[in-house]
Amino acid sequence: MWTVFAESITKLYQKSGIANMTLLHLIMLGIASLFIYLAIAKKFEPLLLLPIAFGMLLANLPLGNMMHPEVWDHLKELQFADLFNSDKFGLLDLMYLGVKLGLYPPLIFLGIGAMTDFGPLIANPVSLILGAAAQIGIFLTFFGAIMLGFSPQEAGSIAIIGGADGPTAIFTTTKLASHLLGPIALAAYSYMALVPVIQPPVMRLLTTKKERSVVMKQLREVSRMEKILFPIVVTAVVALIIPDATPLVGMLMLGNLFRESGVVGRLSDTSQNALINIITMFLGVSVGATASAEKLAQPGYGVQALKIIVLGMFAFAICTATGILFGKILYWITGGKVNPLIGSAGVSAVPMAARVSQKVGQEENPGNFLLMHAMGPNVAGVIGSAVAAGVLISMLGK
Amino acid sequence: MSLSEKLILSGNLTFVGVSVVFLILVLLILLIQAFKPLTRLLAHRQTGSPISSKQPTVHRHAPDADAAIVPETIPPEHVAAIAAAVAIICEKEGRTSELVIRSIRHSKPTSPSWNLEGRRARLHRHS
Repeated sequence: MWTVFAESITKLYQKSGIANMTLLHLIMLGIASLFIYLAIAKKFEPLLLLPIAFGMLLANLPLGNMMHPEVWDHLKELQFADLFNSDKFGLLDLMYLGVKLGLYPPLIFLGIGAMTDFGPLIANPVSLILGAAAQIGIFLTFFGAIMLGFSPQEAGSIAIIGGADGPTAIFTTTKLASHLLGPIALAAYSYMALVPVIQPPVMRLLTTKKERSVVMKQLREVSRMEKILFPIVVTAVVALIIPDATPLVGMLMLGNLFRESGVVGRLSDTSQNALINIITMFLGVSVGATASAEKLAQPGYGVQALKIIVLGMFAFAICTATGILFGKILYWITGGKVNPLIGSAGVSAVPMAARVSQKVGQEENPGNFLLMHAMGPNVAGVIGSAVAAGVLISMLGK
Repeated sequence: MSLSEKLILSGNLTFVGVSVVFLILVLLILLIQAFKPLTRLLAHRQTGSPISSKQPTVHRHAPDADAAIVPETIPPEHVAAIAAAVAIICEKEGRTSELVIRSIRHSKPTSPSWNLEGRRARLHRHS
């Protein structure tokens, strides 16, 4: 009887996560715990980082069968019956379907569009130039990534981190290099949280005290008709020129039209609250789950992840710099009427980048309110980064 | 890929990518500039009043809150206090450009979260 009991305990132990834990699992669990700490204690983009970190935790607890990275690497071998076998297709695999199908990022953009006021942009359309300028860094980073040995598709996915737009980075990476989704998503959202840390030194380095002190004229009032026409026109123009950007820009503008039309309050409210929160949870958890110990075990993956982190930082700094430099050009052209600091808000980390412009401007002149002026380039950057993503997918996609 | 192939690919992508992004956004600038006369034309057709390319003249004294759109739920004393505060700002900062109160409304609890946070941050800074 004792033999039978001992055999049962041994069998149970051998099937437990503890018996199947490896050093790599422990490393990944440690990283996941660190991210959970950063999200909760340091409030580091908690809305995304907490689900991402917990997804990482769930995927790296051995034998939990939550996520099967090998399924996504060999998708053609998946049978329909496998979907009902939890040993081959788990809960997080189901959630990950939304990422793989390119569904979640456009739905998040729907919510972002419903939350965004494009009034400052319409009042000062030149902001679009600053939004475009900030995307130059994406293409310069592509060059750096190619030189470091990444394939063109991988380089395009890494370069889009510079746009400081999480959904765009995930959408682009899913289309071009889905095997890099884990590190790219983490890098993109981490750098979005680090906007107040990374941008100010670049801004102070590239501008003079006199330029930072410029007080800009109050923006004109924008009519309701203009705010309704804007999303329709933007969607048509972008979709006709770069069709690959249509899912992102189209949903962004649909959300904005819900908001500005004033006749679908419930839809607007749902888009910017319930919908975006649900998608954020599913996206975060499933993307975090792609960062698994099995992936880390692949030769060269750790070095690759490190290169992505460094290139992402480079991309972000360069995008900030190019935005500022175009801001200086506008300062020079307008005879000192445009504060170059608003150029740094051309990265699409809304509204953090605009707040950083405001804060740095107020360091020179406490009475200077740049926030609404910076919101123009900031929301222009959302459009600009989605267009840049469309260009990358169009030129590099298979 | 050889070094020259990489350079050609990067150069081509950078040139085409930046050009396309700028082209689209400059096109949007031009279209947005066309909104203003279009909306003025539509407003003219609706009201029948003459089209004026000039902005309405503004007064040098305290902002005229009588013409502002104010819901009935906001007491007149609050409207007067807001107009007085704006006048003080104009005087203190020696503004040459005029401030006009166009509308006063309660901020909704369902306002976008960063709008609410921005307002709270400004209130805390000045309190």
